Amino acid sequence: MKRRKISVTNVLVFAASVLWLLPLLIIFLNSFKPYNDMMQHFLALPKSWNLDMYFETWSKFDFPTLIMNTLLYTVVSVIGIVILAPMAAYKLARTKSKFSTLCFIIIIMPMMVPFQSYMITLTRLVSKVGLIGTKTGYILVTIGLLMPLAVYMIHGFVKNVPIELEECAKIDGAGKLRIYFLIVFPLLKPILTTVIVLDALATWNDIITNQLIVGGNTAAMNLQNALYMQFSAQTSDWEHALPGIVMSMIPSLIFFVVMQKNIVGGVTAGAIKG
Amino acid sequence: MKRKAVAVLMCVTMVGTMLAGCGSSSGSTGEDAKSDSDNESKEEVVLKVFDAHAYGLEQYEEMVQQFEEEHPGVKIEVQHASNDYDTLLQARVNSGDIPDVFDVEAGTKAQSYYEYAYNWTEDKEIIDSFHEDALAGGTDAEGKVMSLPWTYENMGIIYNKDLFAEAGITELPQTMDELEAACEKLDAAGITAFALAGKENWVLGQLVTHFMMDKSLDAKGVVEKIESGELTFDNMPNFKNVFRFLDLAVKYGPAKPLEVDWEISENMLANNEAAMIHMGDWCQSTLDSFNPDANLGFLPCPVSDEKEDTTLLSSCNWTYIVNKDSENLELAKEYCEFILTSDMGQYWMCDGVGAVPAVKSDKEVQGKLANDAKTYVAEGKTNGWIHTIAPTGYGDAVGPMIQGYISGDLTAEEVTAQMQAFWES
Amino acid sequence: MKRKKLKDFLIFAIFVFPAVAFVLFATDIPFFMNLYYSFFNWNGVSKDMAFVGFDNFIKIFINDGLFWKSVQFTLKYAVFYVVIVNAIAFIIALVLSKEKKSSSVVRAFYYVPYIISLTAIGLIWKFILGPGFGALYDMTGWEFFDWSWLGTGKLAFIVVVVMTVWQNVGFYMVNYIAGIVTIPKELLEAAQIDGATRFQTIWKITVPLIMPSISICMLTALTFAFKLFDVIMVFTKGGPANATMSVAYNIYQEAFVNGKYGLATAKSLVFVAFVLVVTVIQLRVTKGKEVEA
Repeated sequence: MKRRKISVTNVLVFAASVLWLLPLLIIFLNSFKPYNDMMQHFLALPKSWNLDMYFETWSKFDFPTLIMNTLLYTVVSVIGIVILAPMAAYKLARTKSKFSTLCFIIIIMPMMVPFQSYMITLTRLVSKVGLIGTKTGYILVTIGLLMPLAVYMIHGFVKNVPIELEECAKIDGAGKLRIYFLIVFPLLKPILTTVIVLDALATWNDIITNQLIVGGNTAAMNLQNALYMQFSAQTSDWEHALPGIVMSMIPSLIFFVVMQKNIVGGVTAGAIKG
Repeated sequence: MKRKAVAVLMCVTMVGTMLAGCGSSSGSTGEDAKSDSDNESKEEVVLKVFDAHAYGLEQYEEMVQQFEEEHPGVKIEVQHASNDYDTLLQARVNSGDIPDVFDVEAGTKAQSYYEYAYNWTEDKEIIDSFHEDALAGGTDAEGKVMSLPWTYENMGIIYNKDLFAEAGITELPQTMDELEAACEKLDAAGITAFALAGKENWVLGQLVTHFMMDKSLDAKGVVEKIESGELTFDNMPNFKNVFRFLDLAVKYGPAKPLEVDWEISENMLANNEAAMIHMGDWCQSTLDSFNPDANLGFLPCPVSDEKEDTTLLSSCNWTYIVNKDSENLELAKEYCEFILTSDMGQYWMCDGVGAVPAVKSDKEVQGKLANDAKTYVAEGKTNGWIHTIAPTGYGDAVGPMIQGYISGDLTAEEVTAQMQAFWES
Repeated sequence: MKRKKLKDFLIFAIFVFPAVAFVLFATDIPFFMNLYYSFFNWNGVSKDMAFVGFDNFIKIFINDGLFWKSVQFTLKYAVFYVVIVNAIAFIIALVLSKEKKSSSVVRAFYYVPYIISLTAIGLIWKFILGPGFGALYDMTGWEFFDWSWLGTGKLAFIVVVVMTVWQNVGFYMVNYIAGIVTIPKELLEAAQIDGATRFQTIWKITVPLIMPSISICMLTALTFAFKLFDVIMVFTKGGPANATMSVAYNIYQEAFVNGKYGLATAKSLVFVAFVLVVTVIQLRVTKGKEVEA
């Protein structure tokens, strides 16, 4: 009896997933079509499958540089978050003081604020410290923008680390830093993996922050920013943009599929509670 | 112990990568991604250019190359920010990274940047090379020439000649009644008469300005009179006809007018699926990419019962500013002059962009629509753009009003009242 | 004792201050710089600005119908979005949190829209709602496909909700899976042996134990809804006739299109104050229900 109920939902969920995948296929198909063809016959198969536009987009946009830039930004930002966010989240969760709460609020307050409301003053600030137009400036801002949500998410999960474990270690003579690195940090793996996936993708796909901070320095542009420039209020270069978008998605998809295993394979984490 | 070592290693890696990022960024600031970084690049002069151009880019590249060849040691760094142009320019100006040369839309937008602009009034030779009326868009309130015009942009109704012929329309409609008759003929031939881009605020805002125009006053005069209160939307002679026009566009247009965006609008026209749209000749390259064989032309917009009132609106919309505080002022001026007046510059404007340049020139212009409009411009039959000298936010305020009328949520009287209220606020 | 307190504080500082510094730099300080600008009339470009005191704030409360319309839209949207996206993500997560290969593949499917760049998504939906629905209408004759989805205010609202749910459900799904996976299998098995129905198991065991995930997802959904901008910018531009104007888009328009930077920053301050109140309430509710391990 119970089996059947699960099955219906199961079937629905599996079937519905096609709706999520379909648009990807449609973009892929349209990336082979000339502009007018795409406008007139959006859902049809392309008339020819030539990869010319893919090659042209690759060289015209200097994809290698763009990919290197985006990779640099993604890797460094994520490392920055992985090191700094759990530390802060853990300490703030374990310390019950007014100052600790204040710090927590300072960190998560930005979660409610629309970016549009402070983007100009941010560029002013970044330029005041001489980092406008630089890769470093962009990375620092990115880490700062990703921090609130990361800290919030990890903070919630610290509760899953039994405080008894830490107390045992303390009795055994371990220092605070050691307790954190050797005991707590590894137990945060499931949530950290989620944070890594989220932040890596957010940075890989970022457009507006890159536009603002990097400004005129076209050598520091990231992938999505360069592609976004192919559109304006009155023209759309879909013929280059679509192949570009498809190519830019491949690393993200591979990354997600690989990282997925770490999220679900966290069965060991559950065993601690027993 | 092993884990601690890993943690330390991670820290070192992060710091190391960041330092590497530092190193490469300070080296790459100001350099074009394609240039070699050798000793010479450190003594290079870099000119920062910022514009909103989205087409004619190959010709632009050729132009830049020629300038760089003629000026060894100079590198031109161009950012073609066609998307979110205003936001990016504002951000750059605010962060102190003001481009040496940049273009803005003439009118209220350009005025806001004039405090950063170089004053060309004394450079008589350069000024004289432009058509007089073209310069008007680049002067400030005191008549000083603060920016130089780029090309003429024309807007009005663009019509499909083949479809008109198919419907048996032999003379272009010039009054509202003739327009209605033309619509009926098209309908009878099974042709969709209009493909107005009802989704786009800016298209609707531009359309409305035709019905505000008074030929004896021209754009500036009209705006002045509205601001002084002499002219109101109630007493404007042709304003009420905009509603009749909209009714026709809806009746003889696609089933869902508010879902038609500029792309669909132009696509329908070029593919012979609709006979008329409201647009400007800046869309030439898009139309060509849809259907290079489309037979299109400008139709001055009928606004009343008088044939003489039809309007084709023309303006040198984009205007170039040179940063008066530029580190390389003379070079910036030279570059600006180069792209707007030299042979190479004319090649870019006439062939690459396909528009009529503001500078006096004999070159043949590639854009079909621009050529069509050329005769009107030469005969002085065009008027200026109102929407760029209207109060800021005109398009986004007026667009929704018109959409409200089209969907039936607002009456003509309500829209008129709201237009008045907008202008007065 | 003092030395220990100092040492404790130093350790606290090492752990916490770097994160705080980054956030102060990237958001807090720029946002409060706005406080300054809200007292001026500034077009965002000029070197001069005119001091106007509380004028901007007064204007918001007296003369800005469009702002309040956008607040209304954003709140309404938030309610629908938060509930729908979490419900759907939770159900999907329940089904897909096994370690089977097929689950793994389907999980990736749901995540795909989250990865696709927004401009491409705008293009897809434009064609689905236009030619796509047109073709479906021709095939089925259902009125549903013939309505003007983007041309009518109420329908456009539904489109925005559906689009954003579709795009983001993968993210919440991943969060819920991360939470579900930490529930010890023994607990679930024990419940089944005791004769609990599937629904009872979910409601009495799963949900309480994944409260941290629920809390995170609720808050993230809420903050996303309040900051809704990208979809509006790329797809509806606030239309038709301002029916889908979100607060963030209104602020953006005021600052960058209308050139009224002071007014825009004043609005964002008003809005953030409002959001803060709502969020604190929401946090109290969910945190209070969390069960410690």
